[in-house]
Amino acid sequence: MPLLTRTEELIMLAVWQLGQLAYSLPIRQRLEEITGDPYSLGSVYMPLDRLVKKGFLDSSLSEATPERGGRHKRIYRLTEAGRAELHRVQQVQQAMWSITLDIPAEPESQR
Amino acid sequence: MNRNTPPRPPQFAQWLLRRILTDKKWDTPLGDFEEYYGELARTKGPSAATRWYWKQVLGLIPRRVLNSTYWSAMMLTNYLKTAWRNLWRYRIYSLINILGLAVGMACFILIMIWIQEEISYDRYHPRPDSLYRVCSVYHTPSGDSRVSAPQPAPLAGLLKTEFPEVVRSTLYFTPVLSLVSADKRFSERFAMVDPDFLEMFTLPGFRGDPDTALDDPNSVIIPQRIAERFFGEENPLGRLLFLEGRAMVTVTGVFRDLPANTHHRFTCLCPIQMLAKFGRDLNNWRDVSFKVYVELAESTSATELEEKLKPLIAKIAPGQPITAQLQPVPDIHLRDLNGGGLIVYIYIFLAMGLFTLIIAWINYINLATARASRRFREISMRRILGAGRRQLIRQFMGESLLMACLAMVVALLLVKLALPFFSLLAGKTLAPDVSPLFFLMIGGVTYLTGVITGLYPAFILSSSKPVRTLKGDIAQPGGYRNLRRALVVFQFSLSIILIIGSIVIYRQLSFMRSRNLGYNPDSVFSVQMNRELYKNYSAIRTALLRNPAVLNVTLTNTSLDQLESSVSGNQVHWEGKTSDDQLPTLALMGVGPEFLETFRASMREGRFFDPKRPGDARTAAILNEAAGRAIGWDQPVGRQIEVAGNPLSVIGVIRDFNFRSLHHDVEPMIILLNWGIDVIDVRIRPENKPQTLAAIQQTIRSIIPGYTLDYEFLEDQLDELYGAEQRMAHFSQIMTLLAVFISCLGLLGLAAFTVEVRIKEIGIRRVLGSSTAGVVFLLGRDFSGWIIAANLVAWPAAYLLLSRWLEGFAYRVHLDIWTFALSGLLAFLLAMATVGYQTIKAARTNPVETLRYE
Repeated sequence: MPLLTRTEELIMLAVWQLGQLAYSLPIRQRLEEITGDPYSLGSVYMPLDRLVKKGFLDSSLSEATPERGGRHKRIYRLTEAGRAELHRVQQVQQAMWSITLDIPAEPESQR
Repeated sequence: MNRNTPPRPPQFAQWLLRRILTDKKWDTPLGDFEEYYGELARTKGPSAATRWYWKQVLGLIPRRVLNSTYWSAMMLTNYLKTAWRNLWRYRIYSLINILGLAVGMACFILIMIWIQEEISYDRYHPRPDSLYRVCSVYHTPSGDSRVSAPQPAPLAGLLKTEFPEVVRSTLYFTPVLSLVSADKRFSERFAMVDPDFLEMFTLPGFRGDPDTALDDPNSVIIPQRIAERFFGEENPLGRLLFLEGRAMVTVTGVFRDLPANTHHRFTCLCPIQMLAKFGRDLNNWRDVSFKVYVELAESTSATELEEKLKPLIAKIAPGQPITAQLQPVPDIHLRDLNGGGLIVYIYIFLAMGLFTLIIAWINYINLATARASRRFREISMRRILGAGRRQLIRQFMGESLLMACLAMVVALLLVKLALPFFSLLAGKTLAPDVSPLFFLMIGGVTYLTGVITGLYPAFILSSSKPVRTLKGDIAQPGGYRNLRRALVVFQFSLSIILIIGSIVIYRQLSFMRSRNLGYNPDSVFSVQMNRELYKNYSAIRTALLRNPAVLNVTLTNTSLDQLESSVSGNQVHWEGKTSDDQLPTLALMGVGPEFLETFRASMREGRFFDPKRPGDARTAAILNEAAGRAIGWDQPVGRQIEVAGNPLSVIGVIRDFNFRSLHHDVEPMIILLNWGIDVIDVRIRPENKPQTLAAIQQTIRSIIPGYTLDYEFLEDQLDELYGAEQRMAHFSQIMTLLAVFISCLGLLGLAAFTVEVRIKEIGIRRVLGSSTAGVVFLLGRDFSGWIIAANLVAWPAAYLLLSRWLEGFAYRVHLDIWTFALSGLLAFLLAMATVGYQTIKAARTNPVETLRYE
């Protein structure tokens, strides 16, 4: 099974962190805050849909609020498969990092 | 900005977005958009947010538009391709379908064109809906009523002065008068009217002053055509002519000929005052010979005025059971005063047109459902590839709309081709009034055809189960077959009703033609009297009778078909008449002593007028049988009767002869000798009429130099009277033929299909020893059953419809069972002939051919 892409990974982590608040806008915001890169709405929708299709996330409609023009929010939640997948990714990463020598934070001025 | 009311995206952009993203699934993202807009507005300012929002919306549009048009274009080409393939693969069916629909539509359109023409009569006047003709209704003691148009002359003026509701009024009297210049003379039908006439009725292309043109009694208004004959290219206005060689008149107006769509039949006009100059008393309440037209004020109801006229009638005709009726002028062409008239035919033909259209629709529905199984595979394929039911329905509705459009194109071509012939049949030039309404009708018929013929097949086709059909099980549920049967039965019922109808119409009309009128109208012509003729009458008569081709010559007050002179019942008295004895208006006729021989009428008892007894002219009267019955005399001869103040003795009773349409009973009539003579009637030998007429003109010229014979044959006039109905009969026959043709076309398609479906069954039966006849019987049984059922439906319906139609005739044929049986048999034979070829062909096919591939 191929690993999640980095964006997918970040989104799933965001979903986990946001809990009851995990819908498109806060997720996008969290990504922007953490990475410092601009994320458009569209760039969140696509991976979200993909993850739902893969079965790592599922979604439900929540209450409508006035600032949404009376429309529902779609709240995302990790599925069991999603939780397991995140674990696998974490393990793979930790394994990879743990056998990697320190990568200098600064460019090596002299060798 | 108030925190409680979050900023909203621009209204228009929102609306646009909602139009683009209609699906429910876009709801949540739309909410996201709106919330994000609010967030942007807070962090970067409302204008930036608005900019962002608009960018999103506009970015969506091209994709959306492209997407939808791309896919609908794809589907459309696919639909068209499929439709075309199906049309082409089943060429015969398609031809049957389109031809049937086209013929049905063409019939309907032709009928609508005709109806459009007929109901346009007298609608071109300034205020057509306020124009009325005043009629009187006589109520008989038995509860019947009889309406008649002639009125006394003073009524017109009185109505206008006494009733504020009557804005304008005119007398209307239409004699034939001769118009003479120094070197030319023409006899023309005149309308003698009051000056108001010109404001009430439109004369097309009128030149002259309409306010004053009829004010001077010595004025005349003539049509352009006659003006040219008198004066050539010169201006006719102000020129002088002579009327009847008696009065000098000035041309005060010229107009183009009257249009065809008016009930008026005059060519020239002159003031009614001229009639007074000719010696007629226009203040005489007893002279009931005029028509009266009135124009009512805005917002006046005719019924209310009829009510208000009651006291007036009581004054004019005390104690008479008469009421007034105001007949709308546009109705005059459509409705006869005593019921019936053209309107009946309009309804008949409207029904015929609808029947034909429905028959054509049923064809289409039947063939489409029958052939549905051929398309189940295509449909299943579509469904499996994701077509929804609605899409399929749209597809098939589209197909039938396409067929309807094709059929309409063909139909319009047919109409164009048939119109000259149809005009001939209708006896008038018909052209579609190419108005928006006409196009609306064309479009409406096309659309309705498409929808009605498409609806049912579309639902059947779209409801098939893909899995079953793809497995090869293409049998249709039985319900559809039952519906098809019902439709065929219904269709053939309509056809049989039409056949019965046209047979009965034909029989009734030829019955009317052949019925004994009570006199013989053949080879009798009438000549309008003028002063010279009157002066020289006896010389002319003697000279004419020397010609062996001239059988007899006599006089009457009008030509027989136009008899309108009458005397109202309260002017007729006899000994012992009580106030309970009410008489309807009696026809009054003046004749010469040779009337009986000339017209070949006959006496029932007593004697006819005798030229050797000059006293007859003042003292004798002859009644017809109807008059004797109306008065209640068993033995009228020898009795005394007073007519309009003149004491007369009844010397004989003439057998009833029919001087009006055979729609009505013979009216009571009093005949007087040499009363109001205005017409010479001549009976000639039926052979060599033109030669005889030329000789007659020569003879009269030897007495009156330069005389031009202006004659009208009575038989032609009667033909005209019944001609309209004759034409209707022809027309209904043609419509019936077409309707039956369309039905048979449908049956042909259905038979072909049935045979096709059962071809293997037939093959097996043949192999197992069935005879050709047996197979034909097997296949024919179904169809003949349907036709018999159709007969059972059609007969009672036809009986009801036709007996209602026949009620409009005083003399009518009986509806006998043979007409019905014959029509049923005819339909049966036609259907069998249609089906027969297919079944025999199928029965004779070598089973090897059909079963080879099993």
